[in-house]
Amino acid sequence: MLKIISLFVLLSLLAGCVSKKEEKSDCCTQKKDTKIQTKNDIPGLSVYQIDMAWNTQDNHEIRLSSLAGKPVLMTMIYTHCGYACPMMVSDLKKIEGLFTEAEREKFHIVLVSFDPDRDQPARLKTYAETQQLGTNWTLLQGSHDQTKALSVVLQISYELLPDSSIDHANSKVVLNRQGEIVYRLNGLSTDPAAVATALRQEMGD
Amino acid sequence: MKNLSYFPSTLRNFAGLLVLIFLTAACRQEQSTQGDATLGAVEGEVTAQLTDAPEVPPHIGLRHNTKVIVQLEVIEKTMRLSDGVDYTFWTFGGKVPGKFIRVRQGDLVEFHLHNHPDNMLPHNIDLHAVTGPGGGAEASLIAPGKSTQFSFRALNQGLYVYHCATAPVGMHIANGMYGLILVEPLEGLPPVDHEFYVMQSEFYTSGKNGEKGHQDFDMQKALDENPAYVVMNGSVGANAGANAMTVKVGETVRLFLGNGGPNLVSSFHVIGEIFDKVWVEGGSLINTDVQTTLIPAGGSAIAEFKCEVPGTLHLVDHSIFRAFNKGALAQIKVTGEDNHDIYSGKQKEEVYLPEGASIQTINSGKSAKPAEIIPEKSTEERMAAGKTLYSHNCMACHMEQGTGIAGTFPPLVNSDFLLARKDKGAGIVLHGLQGEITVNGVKYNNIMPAVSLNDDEVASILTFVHNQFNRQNTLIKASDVGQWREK
Amino acid sequence: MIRLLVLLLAATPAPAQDMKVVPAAVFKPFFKGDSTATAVKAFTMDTKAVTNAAFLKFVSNNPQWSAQNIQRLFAEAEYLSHWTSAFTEGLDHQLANQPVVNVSWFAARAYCQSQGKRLPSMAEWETAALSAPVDSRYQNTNDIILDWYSRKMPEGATVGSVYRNQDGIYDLFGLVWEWTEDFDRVNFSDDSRNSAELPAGLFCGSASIDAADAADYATFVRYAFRASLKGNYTGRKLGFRCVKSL
Repeated sequence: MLKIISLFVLLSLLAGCVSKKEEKSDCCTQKKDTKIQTKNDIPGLSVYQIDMAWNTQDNHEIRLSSLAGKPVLMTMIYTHCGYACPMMVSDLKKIEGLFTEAEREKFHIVLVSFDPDRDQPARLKTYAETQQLGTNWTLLQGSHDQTKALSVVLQISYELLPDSSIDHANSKVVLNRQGEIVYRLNGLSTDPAAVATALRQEMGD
Repeated sequence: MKNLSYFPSTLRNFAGLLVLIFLTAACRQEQSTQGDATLGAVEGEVTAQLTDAPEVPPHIGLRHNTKVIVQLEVIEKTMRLSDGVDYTFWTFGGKVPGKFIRVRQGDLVEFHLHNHPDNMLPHNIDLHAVTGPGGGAEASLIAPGKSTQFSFRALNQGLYVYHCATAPVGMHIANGMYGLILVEPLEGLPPVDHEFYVMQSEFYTSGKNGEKGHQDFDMQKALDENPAYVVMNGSVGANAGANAMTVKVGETVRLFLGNGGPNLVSSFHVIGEIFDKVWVEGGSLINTDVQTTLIPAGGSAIAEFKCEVPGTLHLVDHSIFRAFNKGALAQIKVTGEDNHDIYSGKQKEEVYLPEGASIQTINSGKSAKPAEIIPEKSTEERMAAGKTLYSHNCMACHMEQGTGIAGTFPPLVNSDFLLARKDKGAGIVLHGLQGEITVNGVKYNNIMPAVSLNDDEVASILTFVHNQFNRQNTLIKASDVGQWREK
Repeated sequence: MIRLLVLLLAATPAPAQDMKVVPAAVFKPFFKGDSTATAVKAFTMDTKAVTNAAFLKFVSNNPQWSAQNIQRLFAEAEYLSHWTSAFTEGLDHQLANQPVVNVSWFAARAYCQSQGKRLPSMAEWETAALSAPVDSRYQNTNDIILDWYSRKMPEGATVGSVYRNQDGIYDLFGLVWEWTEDFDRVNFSDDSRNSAELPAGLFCGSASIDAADAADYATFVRYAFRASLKGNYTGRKLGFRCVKSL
């Protein structure tokens, strides 16, 4: 009896093998029912759909989706930047200055580096210290590929130049609690009030 | 009794106050329609009715500031530029010129621009009525398959051009991307019987004017400001002949005129009419009794007149070769009763001999065109070619149906004179004709100049004239015509 | 025996997209933003635009890039909307050799990465596009571009059908617009301190002031097209091809 069962099992396994191989031969058709479940109810337009690992200035590995739950003020900089990025940081501090200590706990400020080769976590940490950035500021380093992808999503274009400098746009982007872009302001030395209002709106509810 | 004496004075004061309030109420109401009305509150919402030239959307007149929604679609489309000539136009709304938009000063315009997904190129819009960066261009660049929205306040009254401003701007405009937006003044425009939309523009094609087939845009010609075509309402004859605008004697006409350019300034004139009123450059300055008004490239004008006598009015750019040789011509046909006091028509014609009897000749008798070797055509081909050639060369005098003009230009239809000719009319076309002749029992004494065409073209015209107007069934060959050239 | 044959067939890799070398060049940027010309190193480029068949294979092996699974951040609703179910089920082959369109930058990039390649930069693409047609009824690329803008190109053209250039690369003009890695650079003025970051160079007069050759209107149109794009956009006439550094 056992033998028959084991033979049957063996045969059905073999049959399974064969049919699998035959499936492979019709390579160029799309299987109908390969619907992938959306993860964690992240909305389709959320920036957090870029689901890769980034390094923080504290050398922790995080996914962007870990920022969900609080609104985010996000921009892109690089630490070797001489003029524009310090101006951007100064603009962000002015915005932060319009909030109380308690309120600052309710949103993230995130700076993503254009320059992953030089902006290693240790370098980002030093930068945060010399720029005297608060504890709710997160600085991120990712691969070149994901940095480029994020820049396209945020519409902050950049180009690595042969002399190691980076030509780049300057924008402040506000994300809501689920990572969708709700507000952007281009340029430097911009009015902090407008961005602060956009942030408050997302913090409010 | 104290109350009684008190009562009248209070009553007087009260009455006086009431009167004051009453009087000033009228004042205050008036004030609210002037001054800051253009930035005042907006009430209600309406979707703009857009029209194709020469139609104009209806009069707006007095109403409060309204939100006007405009939906305009960009479509790239191949259409007729002239007989036998096609061009790929880039259009606002499917035609050239683009849709006419009509709003009122003070309105808040919510503008939706759509770029059809089958289009090749991105587009945007610059409306000269917009106060803001790029006239809207900065906010409206869209790829095919996308829409954009922006809004603006119509701060100033006037007639404004709009056009695409995507690089290269000259090319986008040259391909047909322009139209007009009218911002009516607060009190509206005085009523007239007819309003028409006419917009002049140029086309720069790689082929010459009249060269058949699909033509491409020629950048060098555009840079040289040397168009092959100058047209009214987007193509040669768009509003002429059977498509002429029509009006009755006694009616008033207002023309909303535009010039899309891209390069030329128009010297706009209506042959047979005088403008009673011209809104200079489409603004608020009014000139009167004007014969010819300038329409700047990327500008406009509004002209008004009253049609007193019947006839066909020709709308032209008076830089005249553009009108008669490149297509800058439109027509308004006025029907109704004659008024011989205003215009009598020809009253008399007689022979004039100041001294001697020599008659000035217009031509040397021999056509200048060198012989070309062109293969003979079939009757059908000659009829088609002949029809086009006739309309370009003969119709101005002999008229569309070959009827001629009584007393001046003889008819070609059922013409005993023509049918009697041994050369079937070839000699007349090649060498001209003058002196008294009798056609169908009526005398004519005028001068027809020689027409400078080659044998092939003359053969086509004659075949057309014989078959179309004289019920013949004949095919005249180029070689037949050639025989008569030297005689 | 039959099973072995089937196994063999399945194991045969799909024919690799043919690639040819584009020689190194000095590229003069179209907008005066960079006043110095940049050196473009030699690279290899797909000879033809990526086809619907090739993209279908990619999607089958990477179902997160199918139209039903892709997130809006990466492609808008029109993504692959021209694929009929007959095509995806292998029943209809008409679309197979036509260039894939209605693909976003993210999707194009992912495809190239799956092949161990990448999207070309604008400098690389423009350098490759300079090469003149060979054995063609067209004398130069401008004539091809004019016909294409005049909508005289046949519908349903297959890759390789428009023209071959001197590097052996096909249809850089006249078939579809093509994604580049840095398309978003067109929107940018080169001064990082400039707070007015509108694509001002593309509007009205300033475009002709800045451009390398004001009469090169075909190039203007190409840059204007890139300026109108975002990463998740798709277009009925927008496809791509991949390159590889040497």
